[in-house]
Amino acid sequence: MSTNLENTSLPIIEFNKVNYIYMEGSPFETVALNSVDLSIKSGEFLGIIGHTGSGKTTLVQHINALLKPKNGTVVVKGVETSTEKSKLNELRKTVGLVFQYPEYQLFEESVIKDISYGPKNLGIDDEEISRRVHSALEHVGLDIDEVGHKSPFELSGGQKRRVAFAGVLAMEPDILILDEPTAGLDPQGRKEVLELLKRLNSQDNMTIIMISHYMDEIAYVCSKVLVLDSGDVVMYDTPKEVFKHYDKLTELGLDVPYTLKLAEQMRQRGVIIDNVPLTLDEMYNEIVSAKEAKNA
Amino acid sequence: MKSIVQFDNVTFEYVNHEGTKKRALNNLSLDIKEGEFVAIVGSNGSGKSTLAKHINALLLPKDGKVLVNGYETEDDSRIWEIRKSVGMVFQNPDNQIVATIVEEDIAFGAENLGLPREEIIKRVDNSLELVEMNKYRNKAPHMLSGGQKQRVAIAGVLALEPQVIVFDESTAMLDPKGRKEVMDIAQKLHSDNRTIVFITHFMEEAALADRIIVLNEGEIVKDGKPIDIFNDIKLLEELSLDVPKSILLANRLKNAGIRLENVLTIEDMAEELCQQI
Repeated sequence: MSTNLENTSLPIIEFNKVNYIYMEGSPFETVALNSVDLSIKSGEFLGIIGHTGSGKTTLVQHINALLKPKNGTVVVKGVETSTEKSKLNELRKTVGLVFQYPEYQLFEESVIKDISYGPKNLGIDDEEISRRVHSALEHVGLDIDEVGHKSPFELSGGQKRRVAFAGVLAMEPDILILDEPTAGLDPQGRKEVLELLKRLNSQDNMTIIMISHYMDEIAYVCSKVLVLDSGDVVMYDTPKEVFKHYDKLTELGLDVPYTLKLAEQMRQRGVIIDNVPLTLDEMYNEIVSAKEAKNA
Repeated sequence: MKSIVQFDNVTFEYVNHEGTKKRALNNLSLDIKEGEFVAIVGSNGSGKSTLAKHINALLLPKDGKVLVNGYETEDDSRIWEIRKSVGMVFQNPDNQIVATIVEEDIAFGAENLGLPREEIIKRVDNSLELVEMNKYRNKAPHMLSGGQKQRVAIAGVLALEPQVIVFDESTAMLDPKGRKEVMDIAQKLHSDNRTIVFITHFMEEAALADRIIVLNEGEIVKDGKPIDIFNDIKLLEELSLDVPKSILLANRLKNAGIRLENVLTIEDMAEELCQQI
């Protein structure tokens, strides 16, 4: 999956002054991306947040050239998405895009056939396809002997979603983009998806870009957070740096992780939590030291 | 208080693709009083939706009986009365909207009841008011956000003037803002003395109910006040349910000599914490 070209310090994706407008010239004209500059490093786990209509989905659809900028350029692994048409196939192998509710796109009569569909279209030979199907199912934690020959429609909601993920993983992308990957899953399902993504990022060195409304998830898995509002990049930094802007995020109609909500409620009652606790462990330590400071 | 929904030893079985039977409700008994706000939680496959669909006779028990306002759901002659008194709001708003204009969509159910035109108009106006969607009445539903669409779906249910409203994971597909919109409406309807049955995976939502019922494998494993349910961390973890973060944190803080009693909401948690440190 990785080549010599990849170096964790080099950008794998670059947006240069990217504009995108929906329904240009009509009464419904909407600026979806407004002169976006962005550089994403290889191996990053990027979280994208912003309320509905902020441009999140539009932005990620530029990465695999589903959308092309009206102005500006998007360069992915050295390929400019709007000019180098002959390289688009290559690009789409590099970038795996998992839409919202991807299980709605399952269609084959068996799990194995569904996962094989993408690689088959690439013209890959049967032996390699079989290897990829095995590997993809293993990655998502499904037993090929148990579910491989079943219809995807017989599986539970969480299993179906994992089959859909496996279909994208079988393309062996370097960059994996997911739009609300945990939406609609139960707590156990959400946890499993997040652990899978963490593994793909740390063990398989995949660059992962995840859109989510769940700030606790973003704080838990991401190395960087991008905040979008009306097509503008408002913040782009580590989770700690981003989530300390409680007021700004609230103003944008965004949630913050639980720990920061609690810290804010405590601040309003006169107890100041200085650091930016993102996990319950960090919050616990902050509370204990606040208590000790008071007693000292 | 008067009972409005009663389950009396209800059993229900599905037959799956392989032809084997799966018991979705197992000898389940339940009594919901008029005006109660009951949350139902449980992992996927615990029987929550099956239970919900029994309340308005979308499903009928294999054994036992379900009574709504004292009428048995299996009684064909009462089925329309039952369906009028129990409204359902489902998970995906897109699957519940039938018309191309918001107000026409809301009128759809009421029109099917054969009500006079003036009455339909009155009900549509009232329902739009309740869900605060008046200014969108002439819009196309597909131009609305998820939360707004779900509010339209709720208004359509309200136009039937039901006594009981069942929300079957109606917030699962919404963003935090949309979830809050739906939750606010559920609370408003409850304070308006309607009976609310709220199925959800989100414990912050269940926390706002009067009573929580925990389902597992078609059986009720716990039934009580939110705080009593949440404090049973072991049970919630065993069933792969979310333990509210305040409860987890409060539990850990015991080690540091900080004892918190009331941590149902984040405000209560902050209040008590600040008094102790």
